[in-house]
Amino acid sequence: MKRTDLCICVFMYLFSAFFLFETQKFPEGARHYPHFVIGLLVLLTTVRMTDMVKVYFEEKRVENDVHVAFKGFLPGQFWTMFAAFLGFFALMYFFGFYVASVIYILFCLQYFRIPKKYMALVLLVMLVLTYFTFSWFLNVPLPKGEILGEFL
Amino acid sequence: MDANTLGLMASGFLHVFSPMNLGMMVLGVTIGIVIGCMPGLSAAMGVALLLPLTFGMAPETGLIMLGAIYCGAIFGGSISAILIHTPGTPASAATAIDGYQLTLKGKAGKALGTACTASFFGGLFSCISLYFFAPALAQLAMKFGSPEYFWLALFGLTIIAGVTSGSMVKGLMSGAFGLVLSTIGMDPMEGVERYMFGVDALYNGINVTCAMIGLFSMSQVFILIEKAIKERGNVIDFEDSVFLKAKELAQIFPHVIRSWIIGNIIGILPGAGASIACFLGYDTAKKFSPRKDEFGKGSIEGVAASEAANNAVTGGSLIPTLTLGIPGESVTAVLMGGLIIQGLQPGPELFTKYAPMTYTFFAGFVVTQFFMLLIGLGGCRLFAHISRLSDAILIPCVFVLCVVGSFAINNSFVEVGIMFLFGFFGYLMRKLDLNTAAVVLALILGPIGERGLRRSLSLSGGDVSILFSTPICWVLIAMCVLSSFSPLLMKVLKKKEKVQ
Repeated sequence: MKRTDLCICVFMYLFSAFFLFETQKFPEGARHYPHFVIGLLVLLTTVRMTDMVKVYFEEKRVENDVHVAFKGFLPGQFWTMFAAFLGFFALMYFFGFYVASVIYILFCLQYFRIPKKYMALVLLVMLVLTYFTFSWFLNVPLPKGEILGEFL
Repeated sequence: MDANTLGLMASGFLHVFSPMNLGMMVLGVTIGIVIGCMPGLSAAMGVALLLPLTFGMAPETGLIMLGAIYCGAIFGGSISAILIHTPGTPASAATAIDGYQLTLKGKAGKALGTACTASFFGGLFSCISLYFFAPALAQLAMKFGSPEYFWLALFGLTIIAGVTSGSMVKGLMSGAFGLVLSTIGMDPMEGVERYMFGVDALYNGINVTCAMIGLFSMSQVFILIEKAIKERGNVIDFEDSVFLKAKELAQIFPHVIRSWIIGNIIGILPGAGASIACFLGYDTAKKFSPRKDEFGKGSIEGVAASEAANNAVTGGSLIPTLTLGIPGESVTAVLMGGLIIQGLQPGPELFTKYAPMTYTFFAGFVVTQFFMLLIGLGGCRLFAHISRLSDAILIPCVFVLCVVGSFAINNSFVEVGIMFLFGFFGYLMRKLDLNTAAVVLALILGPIGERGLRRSLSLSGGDVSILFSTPICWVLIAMCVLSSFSPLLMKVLKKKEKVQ
């Protein structure tokens, strides 16, 4: 039995239970279809679980395969980049899309030690590309930001 | 083929030569090749990422552009496969075998020229089946009522079993997970909120485009940031010509024809894809070639067979997508998303009410192949250098495009949040061997199946026998059963083969 498979099954059971609980708020007629698909998910998860239990009784151990699934995982780099994504969202909300993009792209390229001339080139290409495609061609009102928007 | 269809085909070719359509073909093919030749990016991811670009376009122009990206990306994968022994997309895995050997022998130009020419013929021939089979299948779909649509959606979902490369149950679980997610939003019959948690943006359910950008593109960003940035191999400068001689063309042509047939059948069969077709094409060419010993050591026949097969999949895979609304693989699922965004529903209407648009798209698909040949042969030296672009540069660029693309759908931050959430889920799913394409299929087919089932039951006053009332229902049920158990059958056959 693999630990990752066990995690998947536990997640699917919890997910199903939560959605099943939520169906109580629906009127009678609207419950049937969600019950049907939740039942399907529970059934398939149980089939998988049964297979895993069979393997467990044969091998008598739970194989920790997390390190196999996440082989080569660099926690420092991953979580720094993850924080940068969240930072980008916050910057976009307060200062608008373009300011957030400039700061975020420069931060990422600096983090990965990209030479300065390539940093400038990537920044220029991305800003020109997004401006002409989304602002000019598609007329998408990209966020100006809660703070910066007041002054624009 | 009747006179009306021939007239529509002709008018399709007349409309396709508008400056806008031609411009989008050139742009789409170029973007597609660039995406395909970069090993960090896939065809599905590229099409999903650029889907928002088509919002402001006429439906046929948008579809032509997405189709061009698809074809370009499938060919583009061969550039890095040949030059740096790293397939840009899984569809070019077999091309790397002989393509890289040719590069080592100083014949990189010849290998790239062969790949481009074979891709052109594979793609072009695949249009023949698109023109002949799609209208016939659409006519059959006209006979479909609510019960048939329910079984059709179920059939589409059972394909997940075949799509899954690892555990079949895990693939089906991914599909069921997607089905539960597809119930989010307003109930189509009762008009009550389901799992909206006070978020009004979820009124029409989870936006499929957001989910696709998240599952295919954002999840790839997570995959790229978790590992050390890889240094790509140096691109070998090549001096030899990319144009094939008549003798070489004659040498590869029988393999191109065989691979076209293989690729086309694989494309039409939902669940299989270009990555399977390239190996089947390659193996078949090896069996039939009088120069078997050259395979694996730098054979242009091997390169041609693999590339013709994977490009022949493109036209074939559009047939079930456009006529029945069953996207057989992830790229066509994304293309179908593009169709839905334009307010069009795949099915018979595309060949009746919207036939001029559909035939313009078909004509665009044909012309795209010519642009692919021209741009591929003319620009492969430049694309060769792009294929070395570092993941460190791709990460911020793809992320920014994911954000701006999902925001552009409804000009809303909620969509960006949904995209990010699906991206993270998609990343975890890919790490834990679950199937992201199955979730997308379920999100698309779930509402179709639900409508079919509930309308049928409403018509019959709750009598389930309506679901078994027509011969088409029974054919679809048989296909569901076959499709569900096909991986098991394949396993048994493989075991028997081994014993023998």
